[in-house]
Amino acid sequence: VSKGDTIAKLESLLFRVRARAAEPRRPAPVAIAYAPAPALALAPAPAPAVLIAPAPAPAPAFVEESGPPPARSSVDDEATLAQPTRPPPAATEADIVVDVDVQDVTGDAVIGVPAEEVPVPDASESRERLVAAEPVVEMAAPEVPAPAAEERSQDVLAAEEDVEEAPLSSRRPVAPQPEERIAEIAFGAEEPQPPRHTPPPESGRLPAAPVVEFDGDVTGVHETPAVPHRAAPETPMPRRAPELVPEVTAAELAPSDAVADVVGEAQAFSPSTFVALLDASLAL
Amino acid sequence: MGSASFDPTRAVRFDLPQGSVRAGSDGERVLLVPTQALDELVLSAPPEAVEALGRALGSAIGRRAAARMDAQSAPVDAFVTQLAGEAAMAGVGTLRIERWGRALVVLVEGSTLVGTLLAPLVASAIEAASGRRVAATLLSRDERVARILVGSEGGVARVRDWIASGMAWGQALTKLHGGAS
Repeated sequence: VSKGDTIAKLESLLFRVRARAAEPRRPAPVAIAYAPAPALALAPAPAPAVLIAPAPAPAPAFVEESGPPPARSSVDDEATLAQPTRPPPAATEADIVVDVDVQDVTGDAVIGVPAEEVPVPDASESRERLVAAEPVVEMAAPEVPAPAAEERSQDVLAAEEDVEEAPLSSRRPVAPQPEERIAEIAFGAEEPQPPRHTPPPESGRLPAAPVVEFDGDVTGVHETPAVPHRAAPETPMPRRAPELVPEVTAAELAPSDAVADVVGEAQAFSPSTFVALLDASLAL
Repeated sequence: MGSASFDPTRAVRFDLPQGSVRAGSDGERVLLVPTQALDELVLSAPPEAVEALGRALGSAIGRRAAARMDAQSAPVDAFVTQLAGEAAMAGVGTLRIERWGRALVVLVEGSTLVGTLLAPLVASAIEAASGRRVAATLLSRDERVARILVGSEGGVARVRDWIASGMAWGQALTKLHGGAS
């Protein structure tokens, strides 16, 4: 198959899809399923995917693996279950079952492709191409009860538009300064440092104060507990004064005769006459 | 003359017809004067007059004592006996002596004379009896006893200054002997 042929087929397919989209919708045996990952995207990338799968593809299994489709109709189920019974070579354009899987998360657009016959110049080639498409690897969707498709799509779009920035009060890893990191690499880590920051308290509503039932009779005035009257201190018993015992310190003196040393030349002076005595006194 | 006891026989003679009193061997005339009159005189007279009066009284006593003994060879007790006898005849009081080392101290007990009069009296009496020029100063005086130092002029003057400066008379006598004080 040349590139030109491929392009022509794609253009014809595109034209057909546009034509079908312009027509008013009607119930058709179209199996719509949600696929986690698109293989062929008509919308911008992570946007919703439109999967066009051939009729013999194991659609039921595909549907089961995807999330619970909230807007799935009973008609879809019938069509999906009826498709595998048809033999693929004999199928016409009307037999083509296009499963449009809308990602559960995004789900911005659901394109229903009716399975009725479409005037396509070469339908077999188109079907051939579709069959050759590789099955999409399904990504596990979060097991969250999915809200309505429209609400979810809006939420997802809003979330994608906003740049997710960590709130100031959220936890953020605290890494050592580059210099310290270099120092640790060069010289080895020193003593384990205590955590530098403690996580901020989680934001949220403050717990309500416990409900206390007040009693109207209680005024808040408390009675002073009765203080036991102190008995007058009894007169202490007179303490017996300790008896004082003198401590005697006495010198031991030995008797001695050579205690007095009388020095007195005058005492040895004994004048014989009064004139001698008078002369001695005059000599002083 | 060298008797150890004092003989007062005929020591004083009263001549009543003549109205005179005479004392001693040479009949020196004396005057009986009331002590109160002497006290008034001493209190009113200048110190020099009082000292002169005292020296006059003492000189008479010393001369009469010297007439009774050989003063140059008389022992201490004999000298003191004759001098004390004559002082008693004059009514001065009882006289004794003390030896404080080499210092001669005379005690006069029972005297009615004031101290300023006794010191020159004692000094003059000893000077007259012994024939030596001496000086005297009053060491202490109470109601009974007056203690008088007899010595040279210089020695007596130093002791007087020491006592005037507050030194006890005993320390003054010790210091007079050359001791530290």
